[in-house]
Amino acid sequence: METALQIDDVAVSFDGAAAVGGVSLQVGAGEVLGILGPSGSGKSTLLRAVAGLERLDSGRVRWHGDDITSLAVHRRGFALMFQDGQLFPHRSVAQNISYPLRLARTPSANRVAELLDLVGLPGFGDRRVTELSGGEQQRVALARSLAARPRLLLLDEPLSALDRELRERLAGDLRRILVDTGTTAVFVTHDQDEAFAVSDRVAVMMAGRLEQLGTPAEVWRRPASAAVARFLGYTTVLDADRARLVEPSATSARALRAAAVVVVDGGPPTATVLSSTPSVDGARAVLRVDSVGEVHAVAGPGHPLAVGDRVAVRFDRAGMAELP
Amino acid sequence: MTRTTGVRPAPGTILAIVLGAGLPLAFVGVFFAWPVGAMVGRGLFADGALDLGGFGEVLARPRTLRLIGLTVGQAALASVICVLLGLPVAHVLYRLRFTGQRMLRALVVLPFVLPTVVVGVAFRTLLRDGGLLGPLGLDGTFAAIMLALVFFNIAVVVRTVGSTWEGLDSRQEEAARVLGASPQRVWWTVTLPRLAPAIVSAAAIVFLFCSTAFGVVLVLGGTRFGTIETEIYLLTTQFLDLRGASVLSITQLVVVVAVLLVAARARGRRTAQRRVAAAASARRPRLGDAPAIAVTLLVAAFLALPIVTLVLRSLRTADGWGLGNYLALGGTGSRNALVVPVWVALGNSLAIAVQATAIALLIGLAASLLISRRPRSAGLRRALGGFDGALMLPLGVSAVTVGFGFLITLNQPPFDLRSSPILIPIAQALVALPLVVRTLLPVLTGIDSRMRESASVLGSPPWRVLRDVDLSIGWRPVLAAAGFAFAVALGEFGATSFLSRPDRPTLPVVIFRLIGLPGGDNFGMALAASVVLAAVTVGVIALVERLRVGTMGAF
Repeated sequence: METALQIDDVAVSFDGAAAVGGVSLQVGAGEVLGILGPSGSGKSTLLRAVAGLERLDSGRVRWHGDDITSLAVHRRGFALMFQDGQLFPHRSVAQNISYPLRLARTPSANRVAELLDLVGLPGFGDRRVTELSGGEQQRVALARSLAARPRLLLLDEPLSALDRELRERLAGDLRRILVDTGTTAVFVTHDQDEAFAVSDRVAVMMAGRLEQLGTPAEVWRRPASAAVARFLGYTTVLDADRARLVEPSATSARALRAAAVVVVDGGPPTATVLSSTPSVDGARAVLRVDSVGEVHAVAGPGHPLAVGDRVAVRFDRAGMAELP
Repeated sequence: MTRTTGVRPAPGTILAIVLGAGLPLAFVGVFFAWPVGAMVGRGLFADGALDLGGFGEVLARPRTLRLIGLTVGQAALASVICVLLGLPVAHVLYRLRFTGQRMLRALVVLPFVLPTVVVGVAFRTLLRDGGLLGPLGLDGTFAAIMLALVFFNIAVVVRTVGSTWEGLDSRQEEAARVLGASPQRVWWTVTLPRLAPAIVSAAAIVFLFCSTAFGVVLVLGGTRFGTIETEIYLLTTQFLDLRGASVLSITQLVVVVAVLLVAARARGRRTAQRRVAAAASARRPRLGDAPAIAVTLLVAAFLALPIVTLVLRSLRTADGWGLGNYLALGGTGSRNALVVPVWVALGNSLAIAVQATAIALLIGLAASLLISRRPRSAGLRRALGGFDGALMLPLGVSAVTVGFGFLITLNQPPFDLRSSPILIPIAQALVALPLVVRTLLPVLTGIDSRMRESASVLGSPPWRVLRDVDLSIGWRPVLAAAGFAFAVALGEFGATSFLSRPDRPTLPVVIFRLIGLPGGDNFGMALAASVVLAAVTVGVIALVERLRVGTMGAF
C-alpha cells in the first residue's frame, strides 16, 4: 500500500507544556487509521496538527512525499469532522453539504442527493439543521466532509456525543461509507470498540506519545505495555512469574480482563471474595486468588457471592493478552 | 535533530492582524490617546518641564474637592437607585411572560439612547414653574439631577441583569426549594449570587456614565451643581485654566480605569456561567410577583412622564395649542439665535451620524472579530483582554477632554483636520465604539471556533470564513450595533459641542443654544427640536429592537 500521509516526529506544545511529543506514523492510501487514547493524551491535537490548525514545535507532515507542513489549512484539500458536527446553523442541510462544493466552484444538486443517500438521509435536503437529531446531524456532517472528495478525512470523536445504540450502528455505517468511497481517513476516539470497529489499523496514544501501532487484533492480543492494556479494559496485570500460575505456558507478563477469571462450581476453593457487584448476567467480583493476588472476575447468575466466601475459579485464555 | 518549524501563516493572516488590531489601535491611538494625552500633558508641563505642583494646588481648591465629592457621591447614589429599581424590572421583563412585554422592554431602553440635551430639556419642562411637577420645587436641585441620571441609566441595569437572568437555569432555584429553602432564602443564597457579576458590571457602567455625565448636568445643574466633567468644560472654555482641567482629567481617568477594571472582572466571571434558552426559564406572572410588577409600572410611568410632558409642552404656543413651535423650526429663532434653520441642523446631524456609524462599525467590527478569537497562548489572551479594556476607555473619559484635545493636536500635519468636517463623525464614532464592541463581542465569542476550523479545513480561505461563519451568524447584531451607534452619534453633545462650527451645527448643539437664549419662541423651538430629535432616535431604536439582539445595551 502506497503511503499517503506521513507524520515525522511531530511535536506540539501549549505555553511550554508538551501536548504531542515527537510522534511519527504513516497512513496508506485508502486506509482508515484510528488514533485511540484517553482524554488529554494529545490525540486530538495530533489530528489538528495534521489539519494545519496547530503550530508545530518540530517535525514534518508529508502528503504523498510532498512537505505540507507550512501549507495553509484551506489549501490542504482535507476535511475535518467534529464530535458535534459544527454544521452551519443558518444554512439548510443541502446548503451545508454543498458548501465545500461551492468552495471548489463545482456546485451540484445531484452530488448532494447522492451524498444524502450515502449517509441514509434521502430527502433531507431542505430541512433546517437545527431540527435534526444528534445522529442525523453527524450524518449530515459526514456528508459535508465527503462532499468535495477530500484527499484525507479527519474525524475527531465523531460518534462520542451519541447514545450507545446509535453509536454502534453509526460506527458500522461509517466503516462501510469510508471503505465504499475509498477514503483515506484518520479517526480519533477514546472508545476502543469504536476504534476497532472502524479502523484498519489502530495507534494508541498516551501522554502525548505513540505507545503502539498495529491492526485491531494485534493491539488487542498483544498490548505494548501494561498501561495500554489497562486503557483497553484489561483489569489485572500479572508479571511473568504469577502469569505462569494462571497459564503454565506463559513466558512473559499477562493482562487479564474480568472475563478471564470465572467463578465455577466444584474444584478446590482457591480464592477469597473481596467484593461483589451485581451485573446483568450475574456478578462482577474482586477476588484474592491464593499466591496470585487480587484479580477482577465474573460469576454466573447461580453464584450468590458474599464477602469472605471461599470459591473455586477457572482461568480462560480468551480473556487474556500477552504483554512484552 | 529536527529544526524548529512553524506553520507558515495562511495568506491573509497578516492582513487580518493589520485590520483587526492595527486599524482599531491606530484609530484609538490617533483620535483618542494622542488628543487626551496632549490635553493632559498641557497641564502637566509648564515651560517644557514636568510640573506636578498643579496637582496639589488644583486638588486643594475647596471648589475642586466639593465637585469631586459631588461627582462620586451622585454617581454612587444613582448606581444604587438604578440597581434597586432595575432588579424588579429585570425580573418582570426577562423572567416573566406576558403580552406587551416587548413594548415595555423597548420603553426601558429608550431613555438610554435619548440625547442628553433632550433629557435635560424634558426634565426642565417637567420641573420648572408651571410644569407638571413644578409645585415640588425641584428645579435646579440635586434631586433633579438624580432623577435624570436614574432616568438615563436604569436601562443599563435592566438590560445587563435581564439578559443574564433570562439565561439562568431555573432548576437550581427549584432544587433549593425542594431542599426546603423559603423563596426569600432562595433569592439570597441562589439567585442573587448568580446575578452578582452582572449587577456589579452594570453598576460599574452606571457609575461611569453618571460620573462623566455632561449635557444633562449642564442643563439641569446650573451653576450650583456640576461634575468633574462640567468643571473641565468650565475651566477650559471660560477660565482657560488648562492646568486645572488637565489635573481633573487625570483624576477622572484614574477613577474610570479603576471602575472599568471592576466591570471587566465581573464580566469575566459572568461568562463562566452556563446559559439556557430564554424560553425555558420564563413563566406566567403569579401573585407573588405583584410587588415587582408594581415597581415596574411605576418605573415605566417615571420613564414615560418626561417624554410625554416634552411632547405636550412642545405643542403649546403663546396663542394656545398648535404646531407653531414646529413651524418655527424653519427659521433661525428669536434674536437670530441660530445661524442656520433647525431643519438644516437636523440634516447635518443625520449626515454626520451616518459617517460616525460607518466609522464606529468598521473599527468596532474589526476589533470584535479579533478579540473574539481565543488564542492558545496565555500571553496573547491577556493582550487581547487588555485591548478589549482599552476600547472601553472612551466610554468614561471626558468627551470634553477628547473634544478639546482634538482642537490642540489635530491642527498640524500629518493630521491637519481642524477645519475638516470629518472631525465630528470621528469624535462621535469614538463615543459609540465601546457600545458597538459590547453588542458584537458576546455574539462573536459565542461562535464555536471549531465551526470556523471546519469551514477552513473544507477549503475556505480566511476572508471567506469571516463572511460565511462570523458575518452570517452575526448579521443581526451587526445591524443592531449600527442602529445603536447611529442613535448615540445623533445625540452626542459633549465632544460635538467643541468641534461643531457655527455654520454647520448639529441638532443637539442647536437645542442647547436655543435654551441658552431664552425669550420669544426660542424655548418652544428647543422643545419642538427635542421632540424631532427624540422621534428620529426612537424610530431607529424601534427598528433595532425588531432584530431582538439581547446584547444591545447590556454590559
